[in-house]
Amino acid sequence: MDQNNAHRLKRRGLKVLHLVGLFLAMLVICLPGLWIVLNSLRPTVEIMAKPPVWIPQDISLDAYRSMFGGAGQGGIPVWEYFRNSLIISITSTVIALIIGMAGGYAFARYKFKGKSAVFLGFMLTRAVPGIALSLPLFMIFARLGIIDTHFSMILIYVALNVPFTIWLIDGFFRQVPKDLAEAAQIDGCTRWQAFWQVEFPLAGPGIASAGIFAFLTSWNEYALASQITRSVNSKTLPVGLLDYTSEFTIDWRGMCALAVVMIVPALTLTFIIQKHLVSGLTFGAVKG
Amino acid sequence: MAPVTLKKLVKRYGNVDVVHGIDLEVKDREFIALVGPSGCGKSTTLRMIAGLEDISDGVIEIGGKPVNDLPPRARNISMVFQSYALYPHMTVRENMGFSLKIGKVQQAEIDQRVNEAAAILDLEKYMDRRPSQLSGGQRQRVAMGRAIVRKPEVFLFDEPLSNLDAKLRTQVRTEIKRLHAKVQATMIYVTHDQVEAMTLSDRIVIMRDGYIEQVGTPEEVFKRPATRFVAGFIGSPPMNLNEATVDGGRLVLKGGQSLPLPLEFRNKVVAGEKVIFGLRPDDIYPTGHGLSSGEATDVHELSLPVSITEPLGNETLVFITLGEKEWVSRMLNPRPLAAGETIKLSFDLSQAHLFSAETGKTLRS
Amino acid sequence: MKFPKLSAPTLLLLPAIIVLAAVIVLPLLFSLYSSFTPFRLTKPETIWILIGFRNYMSALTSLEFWTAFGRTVLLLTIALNAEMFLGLGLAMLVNKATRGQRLLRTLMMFPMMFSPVLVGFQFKFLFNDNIGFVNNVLQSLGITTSAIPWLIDGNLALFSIIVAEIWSSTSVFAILILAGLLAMPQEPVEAARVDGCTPWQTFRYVTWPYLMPFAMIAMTIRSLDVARAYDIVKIMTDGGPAKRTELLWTLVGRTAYSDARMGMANAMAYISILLSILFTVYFFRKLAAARQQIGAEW
Repeated sequence: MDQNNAHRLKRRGLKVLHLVGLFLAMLVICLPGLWIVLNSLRPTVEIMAKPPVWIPQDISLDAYRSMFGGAGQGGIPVWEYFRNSLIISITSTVIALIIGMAGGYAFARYKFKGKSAVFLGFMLTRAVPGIALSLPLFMIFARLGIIDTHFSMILIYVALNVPFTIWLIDGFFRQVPKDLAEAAQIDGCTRWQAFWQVEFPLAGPGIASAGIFAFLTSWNEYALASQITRSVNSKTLPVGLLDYTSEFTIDWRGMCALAVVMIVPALTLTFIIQKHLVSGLTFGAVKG
Repeated sequence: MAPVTLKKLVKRYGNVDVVHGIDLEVKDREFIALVGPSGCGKSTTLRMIAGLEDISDGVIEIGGKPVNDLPPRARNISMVFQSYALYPHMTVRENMGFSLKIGKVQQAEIDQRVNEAAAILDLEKYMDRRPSQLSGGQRQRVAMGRAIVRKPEVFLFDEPLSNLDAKLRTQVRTEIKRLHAKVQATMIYVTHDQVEAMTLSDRIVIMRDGYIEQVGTPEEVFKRPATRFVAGFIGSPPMNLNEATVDGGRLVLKGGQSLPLPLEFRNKVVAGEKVIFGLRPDDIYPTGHGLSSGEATDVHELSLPVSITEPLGNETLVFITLGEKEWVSRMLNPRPLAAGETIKLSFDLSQAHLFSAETGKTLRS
Repeated sequence: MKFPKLSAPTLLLLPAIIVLAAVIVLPLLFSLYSSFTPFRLTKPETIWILIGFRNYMSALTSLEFWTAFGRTVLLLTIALNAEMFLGLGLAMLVNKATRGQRLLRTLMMFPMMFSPVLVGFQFKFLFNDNIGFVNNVLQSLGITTSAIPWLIDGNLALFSIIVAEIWSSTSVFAILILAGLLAMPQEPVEAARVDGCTPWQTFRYVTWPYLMPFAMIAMTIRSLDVARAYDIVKIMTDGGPAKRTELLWTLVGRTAYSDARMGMANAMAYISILLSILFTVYFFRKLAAARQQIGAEW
């Protein structure tokens, strides 16, 4: 009896501990973001106040208003940056998806010589640090005169996204049983038809998440963008964020507001793809 | 008219041959089963007929015409997969009508043919469900329905019953047999289960390691197995097979005990020859408890102790030891036996098989 | 059949190969070449002068380089181990949760989607000695009266950077390990418990080996992307104070763009590329091995 009691107490204690741990972990994960959102809503005076103001007194959307209200306060062309980011990210994502679908399908469905070596080779191109890659790209693009254009950034991001897109899409295609494509061929499809009628619709949600992942990579990239983009022609949001920093002062509130603008699409998209993303990454692990 | 002919068919992966130039003629409207242990090349052969695997060498003809380079869709076949391969994103109706839709058949005719097939397979209630909402047996029937709708000349089955439980399996087996009677097409059926092959097919092809061991009717392969492998593969419980050496008129088993040489083989072996002696459990029986198979012309009787028994109700399997090996005998109209009890056993040597120990081939010519 | 020379997989892979060759491999060959020249952006003609391994020699003999190199290795060692460990803990916490798992999983994934620039900025703000959240809390709670110079003291700055790095990348491990936990068959765990294993033994001998490939996928993904630490450092300290948080990548950036010594920078960049590649190959190997082990055991 005593032994039972002791174990029951222990189990209850562990349960409390678990909840506390979980709460703390989630707090650490969420707090920085919440802190940024909060500070984007209050005036600089309150941010700078000593002793700190814990309960916000003066909530307003001023920062957002001035940010999108044309070249208002600080004159930072957020609209342009936003537009550049969107154009570059979406275009590069679409192209990376098309290339990635072809490549992923090849890895998932065909046996060929040196398959794993090719795969590793692709991944290694992704492993090149952005800053190291930016040096030759900067020199070459400057020579070609395509520095500070959408085209150059799109080209870079396509190359950056292709390896990972292939990895993910390979995983999604492998989750579609080979039998299905074969059955479709027996049912009278050509290989091309079998792909579009059967394999593509089934891998569809996965491919969409690969796309979102690629989009976010482009959306968030900094190291290369900071060297290749120069002006409102092509500057993206991550680079634009630094406009709020001058040598000695930082416009904390403005930066926070811009940060929120960057985070919101990212978080929304993450929420949509989270389930598929993991299954695409891990499929190869269990099934080889 | 769609006979299927394989001529010197070879499948090679790299340097490894998995199918070694097999020849086979499947007659029009015949139901033929390819049977063998896993890795014997039966599925590969079926997939080559379907056009899903390239043919390394040799020729496949369907309806008298070579189809080596035709894609699957041009071969006028349909196939039921082991996994059923139903399209998860389509309803049962769409699954069954898919091939016709791809073939640009009129919608009215698609509906009619799908409904016809659904009626045959008793699927009308499920037509608007997705595969994930169906039980294993229902999925299996949809897969067959999809095959029927195409009205192909040749049906291919790749172990279609292996994902069903035992009870359902017998049920669907009967359905397939009925289907064959109804649709009158050539059917090629791959299985590793010899019972399925025996019950369903007109002829059985037994394969091993990429070779055909024997082709014959179920009765032929059971009664006159061409090789030791076929003898062991067909029949349940399997045939008792034991090494023996010919010594005058006797077969000496390992361990010194011996049996008389079956009369049928008197002139077909020489003294000192090493052979495999085979006798089905049905042909070893406690005296008085066997099949009264007419005149037993060549029966030999031995007294042996029982080592273990497996009662099955209408019969009992009795295990005995002879020549260092365990033998199974089948006792009809059983009476209780105790382990260790010595009983009289009749060996019906007229039913015995002898195979060359060297080649495994039958010594019956 | 119509393209006897090009097989289907080759055709399908061709676009990927072309893009990667054009945007990554060729520029890298060019940078390899320029690493053997004294190229300066301000003097374009210097690209034609070959100086052999002199850039490499001077990089490899410079204290600045080795300090940055050592610091990078140190940072990665600490960060990756902590991320793996914390990710495992986080995954087990979430896995044990009986309610709201979907929500927890999504929350867990958020940091991964933050741009490294944002992470840098966020932590620059949190660790600001004057108005930062951390000091505000510490002072309000009376733990310290003076402001702690998080980003101004060299050691504390490195610590702050590691915290930011861990915050942003732990979720990669947590998510993948959680996926492993969810996919794991329960029978072996139950068998181990019945066989008398303590919870720790069950974890050590049954759960962890199964999770290995998942942890390795996370490691591989991370190894592809270790250089994202550049963005974080660039924003938080830009290598300072007094180069106390200089990493290989910030050093490369500084040498190339501030000092305009492209040839030298390329030589150092090449060393960092080799480092990344070694790292990635190593984890791909591990991943393959772990995969085989799983295949054999389950």
